[in-house]
Amino acid sequence: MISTGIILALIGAGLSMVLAGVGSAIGVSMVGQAGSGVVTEDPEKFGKILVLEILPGTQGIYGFLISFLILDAIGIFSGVKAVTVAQGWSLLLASLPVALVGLISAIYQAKVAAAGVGILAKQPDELVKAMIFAVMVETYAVLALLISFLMLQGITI
Amino acid sequence: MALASIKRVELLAPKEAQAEILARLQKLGLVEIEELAGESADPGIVSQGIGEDARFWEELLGKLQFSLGFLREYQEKPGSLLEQLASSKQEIEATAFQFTAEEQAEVESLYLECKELEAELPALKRREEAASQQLEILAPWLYLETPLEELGESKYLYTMAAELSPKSWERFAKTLEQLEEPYFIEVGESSSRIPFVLVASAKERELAQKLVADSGALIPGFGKGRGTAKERSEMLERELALVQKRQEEITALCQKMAEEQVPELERYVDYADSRLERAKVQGQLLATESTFALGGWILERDAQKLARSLEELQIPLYLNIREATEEETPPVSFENNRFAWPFETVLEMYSPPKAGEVDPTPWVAPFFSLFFGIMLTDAGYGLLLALVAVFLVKKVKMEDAGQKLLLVLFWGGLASGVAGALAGGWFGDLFGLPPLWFNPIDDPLKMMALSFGLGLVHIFSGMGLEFYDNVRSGKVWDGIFDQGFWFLLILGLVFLLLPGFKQAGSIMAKLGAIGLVLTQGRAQKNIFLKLGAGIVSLYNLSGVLGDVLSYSRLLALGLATGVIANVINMVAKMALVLPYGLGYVVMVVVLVGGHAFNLFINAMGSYVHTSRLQYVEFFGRFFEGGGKLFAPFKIKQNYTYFKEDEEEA
Repeated sequence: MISTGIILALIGAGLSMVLAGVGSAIGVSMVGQAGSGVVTEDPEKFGKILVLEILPGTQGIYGFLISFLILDAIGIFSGVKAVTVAQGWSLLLASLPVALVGLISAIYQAKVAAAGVGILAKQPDELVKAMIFAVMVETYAVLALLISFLMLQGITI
Repeated sequence: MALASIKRVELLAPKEAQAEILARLQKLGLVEIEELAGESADPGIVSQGIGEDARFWEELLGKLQFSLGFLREYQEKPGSLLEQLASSKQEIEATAFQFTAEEQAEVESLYLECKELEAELPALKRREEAASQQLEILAPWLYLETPLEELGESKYLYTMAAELSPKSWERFAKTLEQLEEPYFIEVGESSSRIPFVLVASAKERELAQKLVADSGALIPGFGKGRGTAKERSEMLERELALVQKRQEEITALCQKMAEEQVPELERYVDYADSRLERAKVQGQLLATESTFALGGWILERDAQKLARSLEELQIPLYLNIREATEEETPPVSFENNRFAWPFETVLEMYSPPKAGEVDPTPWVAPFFSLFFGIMLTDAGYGLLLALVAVFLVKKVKMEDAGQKLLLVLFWGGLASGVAGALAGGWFGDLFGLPPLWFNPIDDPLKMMALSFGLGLVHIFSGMGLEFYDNVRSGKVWDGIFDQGFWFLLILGLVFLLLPGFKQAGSIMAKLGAIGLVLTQGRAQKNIFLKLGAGIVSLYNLSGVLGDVLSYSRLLALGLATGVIANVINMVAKMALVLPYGLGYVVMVVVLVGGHAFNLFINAMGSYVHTSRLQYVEFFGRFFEGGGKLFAPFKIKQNYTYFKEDEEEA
């Protein structure tokens, strides 16, 4: 049976997947475009650039993760549970850290990674340095994932 | 010590022996030669500069590399992935590493041949394209029995060929009625367009042209040539066959040449490269009329070997191996045991230690493995990673850099095996095995505390290394003030959080804080500034706090791996509802693909996040870096390696 609580939880699950996923999609495409320019000149750098391109993709995975945990919490896979409005709101709020930080950090991380593609164009051996720069941005997505996860842990249904 | 001891080498010898001595030094590969120019004001001592020799080898090397690059395109590619991964270096006898005048002539002629073939290929390609294009244009006109060059104006008639789309045909046919003189139209077989030939009176040429143009018809460009479309097509077919035959010939020829010559060319490239290197080194030497001087660096353990080897030459020379002076900056060379060795790659990616600095590699090794393991936290993934890494290291011959990376993954994988077993992660919850300790998914706060604890240990080791560095350079008090008090303060604050240690913690924290306030401003002159700077220094506590919190990524990434693995298992099991055993197939596909993806993404994430913890949180406490790695003058071997026993000889 579908209650207001369930709907709120579904909005939360949707938000974390949609926002973080959109951020990652934008991010991955930005790095992919920058990378294509380098690969036209030097196809052998494909592998290294691919690694950089994947980096802003992790936010989407974090969003998916939290989304999945919310769906699991309200029993979408095993029979929908009774969810109160307060519980629904809690689940919705728990999705926000990863959703919002995921969206924005993926785009900003992509900018760093795209600049990292520029490093690879001139210094093919400096992949790790380019990655470390990008990972600095990802730190905050990881922290947001952690907070979303801890919030979810605290909500019992 | 984890940095090898490096000594200064000074060598003086007769100039006529220079070539022989340089050849010997290059073969030994023990000495890094440093530029000596400009060290003397004596006009009798000059830098030798780079000579004719270098230009000769450079040109030859260029030709060799061109031929090699050209022929490599035609070389058979190795089939299996494993073979492609393997570096294709060939084993050669050290005595075979040379280059006769005869071989040089061969190389020159091979170069010219390659150059010619390389120029011919685009020309053939252009001919091929032109012919097939023309064939396409002629295709609709094969029915026409008039030679194409006869189209156009003659004394009484004007003939033109065009193609029109069927849609516009009827309207065009109607407009033709405007022609007053009799006309004749011959229509060919229509496909997407209707080809037609219009024959009108020469008097009405302009009108006919206008009608055709207005109808939107396409006027084909037949170009130069003789004969009907059919005859022309046959000729073009012959041309095409000819071109293709020649292309096949060239491919076959190049493949044969590649098969025969590539290994030889690779040997020559290495040889020419080495000779070029030797010729260039000459520019770093100083010389008088009859002697030359060489300066450089050598590992202390190789000093005896160098002296003995030079003695064998029986040339009168002066060799001095001594400690570096204060003004000289020697390069650095790692010296680590088998466990720590691969982790040099973590340092190389950052910056090698400065000469005389502590090499952090032995500390990086256990922490890197541990953190990598916790971030992956899956025994299945970890052991799989370790197995693949060790398999590749054993089976594939590769450069040091590749081996180091794989061995780092091996140790990280093993650590992950342990962490996964403790946390009960074997490909997530696939087998439902219970954790040996506790599962962070069920008790994330416990795992978070553990992460912070490990972070503190990591940060304290960094401070400990800086303390050691201070003590070693005689600044014991700096060590006590800058690291000792911080240690006391942070540890005190930690104790405050633990029940039962509150009192001790409070005393320690207070002592530490007072110590810091009193000592951190000691560089200031004024007593108030001293105190002020001391108090301000306490704000660094927020930096330490931030660094410790940064270790929460240990928990977060470990959770991400575990939860995604669980999700994959869950989705895979959902597939079991499919009928006819199809469920099992889908389940296996989802499991294999999903876990491979998860392992790849998370192993990569673990690697970079672990690196970050080393670079920012750990190195930030003590490490300066900025050293130059020891790079001895040696034979360049991009494509070859000597048989082991030959190398020792």
